[in-house]
Amino acid sequence: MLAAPKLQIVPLVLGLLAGAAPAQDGAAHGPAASAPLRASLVAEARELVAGRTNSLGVLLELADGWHTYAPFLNDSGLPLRLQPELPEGFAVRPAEWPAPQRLQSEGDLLDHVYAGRVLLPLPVEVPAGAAGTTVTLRVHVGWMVCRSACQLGEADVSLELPVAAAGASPQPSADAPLFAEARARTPQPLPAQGAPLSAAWESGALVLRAPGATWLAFYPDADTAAIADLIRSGASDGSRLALALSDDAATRVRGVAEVRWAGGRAPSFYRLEVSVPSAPGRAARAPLPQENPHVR
Amino acid sequence: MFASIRGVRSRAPLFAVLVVGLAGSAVAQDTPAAPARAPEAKPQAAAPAPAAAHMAKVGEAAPDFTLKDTAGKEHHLADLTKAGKVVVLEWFNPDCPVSKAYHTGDNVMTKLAAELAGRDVVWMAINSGAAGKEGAGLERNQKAVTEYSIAYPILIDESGSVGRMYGAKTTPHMFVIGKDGKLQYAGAIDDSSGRGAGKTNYVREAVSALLAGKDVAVKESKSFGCSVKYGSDGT
Repeated sequence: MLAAPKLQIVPLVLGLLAGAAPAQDGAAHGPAASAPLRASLVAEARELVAGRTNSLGVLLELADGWHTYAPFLNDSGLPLRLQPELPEGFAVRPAEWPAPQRLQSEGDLLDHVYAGRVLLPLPVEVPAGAAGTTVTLRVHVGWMVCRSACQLGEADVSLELPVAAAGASPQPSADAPLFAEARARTPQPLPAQGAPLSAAWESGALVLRAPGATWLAFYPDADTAAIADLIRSGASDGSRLALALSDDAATRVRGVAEVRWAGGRAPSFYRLEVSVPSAPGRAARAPLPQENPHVR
Repeated sequence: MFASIRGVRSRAPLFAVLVVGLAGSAVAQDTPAAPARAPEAKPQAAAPAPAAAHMAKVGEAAPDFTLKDTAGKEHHLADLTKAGKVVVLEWFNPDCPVSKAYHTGDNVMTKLAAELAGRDVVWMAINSGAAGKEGAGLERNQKAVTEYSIAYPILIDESGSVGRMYGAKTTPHMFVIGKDGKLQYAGAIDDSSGRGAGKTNYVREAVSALLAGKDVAVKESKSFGCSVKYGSDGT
């Protein structure tokens, strides 16, 4: 995190919504080490390359015990917010965010959160005409972090990078390993052939199966509000997970499945989008998407 | 509101400002009409569990309760309904930054409560935090009354039983009960997703409709804020 090209700016921890609370100067400029969350903007390579999409990301580093809210179906929290501010002609491409962790709280509350270190991908399209310049990319980041108590925070993070000519292959940055780490937790579309995970409707429930799995979980998207008793049914030891619907009007189930395997093999993450058959009790095989249709 | 705090962005003409959709961006993307996720009977179940009868559900009788406020005065929901009142319940935690935001600055909560006072509306805050959790307890909430100049009662529900009965998940989480004693609105205070004053205040809309004898247009929404700091079950 000490990579030279990263300009990490002003982690603000403010009291506020609606400009409600005035900035607390002490907190705003306090030592970063004591902040529950630090944000920075990082790039996978030492230079941007003109005329293509470049791999950047907002890195969140949370202090022990703290979590922030992932964009999935949550009982509480506030969504993370990224507002990029880019030079003219630059554009942010949609990207799948890393899979979250389930967090259950007293009162039967279930949230999907990020803890520890998480890189939120921010693919940036750099125009061909930017070659040879040096640009500053900025992102405004807003969050709520909680441990036992919650805090709101925000920061302006930025990164100055030279833009290499189209076709260049710049060296990886010191932050490149973070991108590999994030990819390992980024949901993938299910392969069309030989998928290790299947989803099928059985007696009105969506049943996920991953032969050989030791643990399965389903993290519903924020707009999927159709699964009954998610606290108890959303994760299970073994290779089978049954998700009963709680909403007759639901037309599709969307979210991310995590599959953990025996023998120290890395877990797999798949994006699922499954249509609900018109008669939920009817046994029907639901097609799974060939590619990720979900644009974040 | 994050934008409002950012302040000076004089280079604006040189930059394109994008708000990344973050589709899932959780709360922000929820439609007001989205079904609430209060525990409900599973569709496959033969019959709803008996316990479900005591859970608050929009359109049905609001669960009755009696709680004491920070001055020791008892408040009994059924008495208020008998007296012909519309009742607004605001789940509250003085140490939650989202509750705090609605009780400072624009003072959305107290201003709306004041606006509705005298119109057959009773507004009450409820703190369901368990003993020892931040923002919980009589003493802290007595202090909150003056700290935030709250003119309405703050009811102490340390056992969390009323909160659980209503399915209160966040602070704030709002419930509006009609003069008929039925729960007519459950959800967020407004459509801001916690970032700035919302364009639509669902509670104002619901109460106004009820006072005018009309149907409440948005009966449920997704609430946002800190989790209610419940204790373990049965405490």
